[in-house]
Amino acid sequence: MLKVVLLFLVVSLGVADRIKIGFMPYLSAQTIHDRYTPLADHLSWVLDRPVRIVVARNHAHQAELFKKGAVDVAFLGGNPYVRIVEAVGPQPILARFAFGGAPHFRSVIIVREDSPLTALEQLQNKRIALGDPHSTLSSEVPLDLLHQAGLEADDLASITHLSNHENILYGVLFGAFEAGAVAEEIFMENRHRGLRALSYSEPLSTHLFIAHSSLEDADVRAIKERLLTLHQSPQGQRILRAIHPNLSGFVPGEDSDYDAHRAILKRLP
Amino acid sequence: MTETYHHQKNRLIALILVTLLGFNGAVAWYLYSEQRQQLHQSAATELSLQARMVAGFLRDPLLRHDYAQARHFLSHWKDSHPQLQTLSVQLDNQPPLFEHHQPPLSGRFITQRHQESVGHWLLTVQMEQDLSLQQQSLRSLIVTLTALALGATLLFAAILWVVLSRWILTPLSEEIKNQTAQISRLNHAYKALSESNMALLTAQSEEQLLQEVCEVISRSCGYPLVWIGYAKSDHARSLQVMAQAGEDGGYLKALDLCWQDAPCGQSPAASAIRQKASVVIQSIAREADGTVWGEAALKRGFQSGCALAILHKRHIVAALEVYSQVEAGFTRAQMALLGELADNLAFGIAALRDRQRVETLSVTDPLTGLANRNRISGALIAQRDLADRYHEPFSVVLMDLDHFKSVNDTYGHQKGDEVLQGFAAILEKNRRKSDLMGRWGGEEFIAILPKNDAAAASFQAERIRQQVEKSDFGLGRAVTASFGVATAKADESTDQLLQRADEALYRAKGAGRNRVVCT
Repeated sequence: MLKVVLLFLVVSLGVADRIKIGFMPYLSAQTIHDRYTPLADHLSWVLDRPVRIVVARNHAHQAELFKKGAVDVAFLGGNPYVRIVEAVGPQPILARFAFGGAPHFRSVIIVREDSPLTALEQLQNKRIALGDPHSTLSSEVPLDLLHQAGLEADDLASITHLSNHENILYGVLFGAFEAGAVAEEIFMENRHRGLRALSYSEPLSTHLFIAHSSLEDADVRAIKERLLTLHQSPQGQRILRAIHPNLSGFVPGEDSDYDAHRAILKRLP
Repeated sequence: MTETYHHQKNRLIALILVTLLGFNGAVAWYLYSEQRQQLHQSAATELSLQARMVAGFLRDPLLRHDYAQARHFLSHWKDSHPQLQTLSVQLDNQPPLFEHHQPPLSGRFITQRHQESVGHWLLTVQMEQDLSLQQQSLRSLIVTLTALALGATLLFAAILWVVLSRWILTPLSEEIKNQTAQISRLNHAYKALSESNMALLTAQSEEQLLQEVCEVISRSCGYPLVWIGYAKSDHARSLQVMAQAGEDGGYLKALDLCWQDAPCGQSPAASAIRQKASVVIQSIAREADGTVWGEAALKRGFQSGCALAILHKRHIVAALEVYSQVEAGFTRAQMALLGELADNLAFGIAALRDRQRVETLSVTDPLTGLANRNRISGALIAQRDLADRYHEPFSVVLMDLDHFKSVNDTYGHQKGDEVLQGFAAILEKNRRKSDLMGRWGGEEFIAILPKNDAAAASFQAERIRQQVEKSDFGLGRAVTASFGVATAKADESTDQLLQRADEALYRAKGAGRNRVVCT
């Protein structure tokens, strides 16, 4: 009996002491684990506390997890960030991605390299693959692009929301869809497979890490400092390359950096 | 010989060992080939099943456009199947959904390709599996089994070697060795037979023949003592040693040999003579213990002996006795050869005796037993040569019975022959060792007297004349003879000598007969 009580206490303390980073499923859960485990391990070593990766089922699930404090840190796209801030108020921004030194990226509408499509207008009555309905770059931004090109959902043959960017690009590649939308860095990674960009969005502030308000300030500072200086060490550069080959580092972010996202959300029906 | 059998034994073991090793190798190779084929077939079947399973697993995520999950599944499948050299999944002719290739470990791999429809796609799953690991395991297994079989074979060969050495080949070797020794002895016996036959052809006398035969048997067969004894027909039925060969250690002299049924007649030779058959004593210690000859033989190291009767026209001539230093030294075959040798010896003895008799007849007057004219002529020439060489005198006496024709006419030729024989007996009686008496023809006789001058010869002739004169030869009346003596002169031929003796005889006849006249 005593042993059971001790085990329970140990497990309870362990769980309470752990920091959980919640990820939106912009890639498959396995890919996310593969790419971010070095970072989690590094933070665990820095904080001297276990750091665990949690991949949400979808964007809504991730927002729910964050709102109820089930994750201490959240990795978000711009649009989910804007929605969470609208829902629960300002949250401390830890850092945002910088690709090639720039903290911006774009959404890109892709077609197969051998596709006859050359303009967004030609997507009328075509099958489009998008990501999670709440995904910034794979869903809401491309829909805004189509909207600006004069195409609404009813003008398309179909809109299919897939669970991640990877599925979108393979769906286009294998001919299940005439076009799809993914983050630019995902496209750059896979364009050699036989994909071509049909249209880019305006540059948008990159994905970001935010801390839950319940996280200790010391932890927030430590995580932020470590993320922002990660690119300064060879080990940090290896961690960055594991996340994405073009990821040059993390840079500070402000709430105003995501005003463009707020504008897009307003334009969407 | 023993070494040869050891070599043969070792060669036999080596032959069995090599055969078993070859058999092991063949079985190992057969098992390896069979198992490799089975391995290939089972691996192909398994790979085909894998490809079908993968296609089945991919169906749902592909229909849901969850390519990431499909790729994740394939990646996991690849990791959990390290023997897969290639895992490739393709939809229609699109770029591969998943592609995994690893450098081949060897050239031995199998390929399976499975295709099925998924939605509007044709899904192709291609797998290649490297068989080198399985084949290496199989080789290890076969090598282990072969090593065990090799060990078992060596153990079997060792046991076989021990069994063959101790219980089969050694007794066989001993038996063959004995048989070889017997063959060797038989060969020696054949050699003895051959050499004794040669002796039969070349021997000039009976004594020489017997001695040579004894020496041939002893030398060729290695017997320590071989001797031949003549069965005498005297009162004591004595056994006379005629020839012997080998070192008898005084054995024959120590024995009182006879062939009658008495203690002196217990030897094998005596028994053979009495039984007119061969006698074999294979163990003197067991069969002749207590006998005089047996103890004497054992004392000299003789362990076995045999004797063969030498018969001529069913009459005992002699016995051949042979001793051996080992027990059972005479096999049946050897005895047969020795028996043949004894028969040949008997034939040889008889032949020599016949030849002797013929030779005697050719130089002997058949009526009187004296030398005939031929021998006298030859002896006269020989004596002439000796006398010339040594400058010694010799004389010739011609003798003629007086009025012998009247004896024949009065008493008949039978009586006449008896007179001639009686006269010859007187001559023989008065013959000295170096003298030669002969019948010159009819009632005329001759004496050659070496180293006799005229006086000595005349004296000898006179003595004979007187003895003749005193004998009536059963006729009841006196018979006389006339004598002509001639002493050889230097450079005188035998004819001239005989001429002078004849003239002297003629003068004795002319002077009234019954007298000696010397020239």
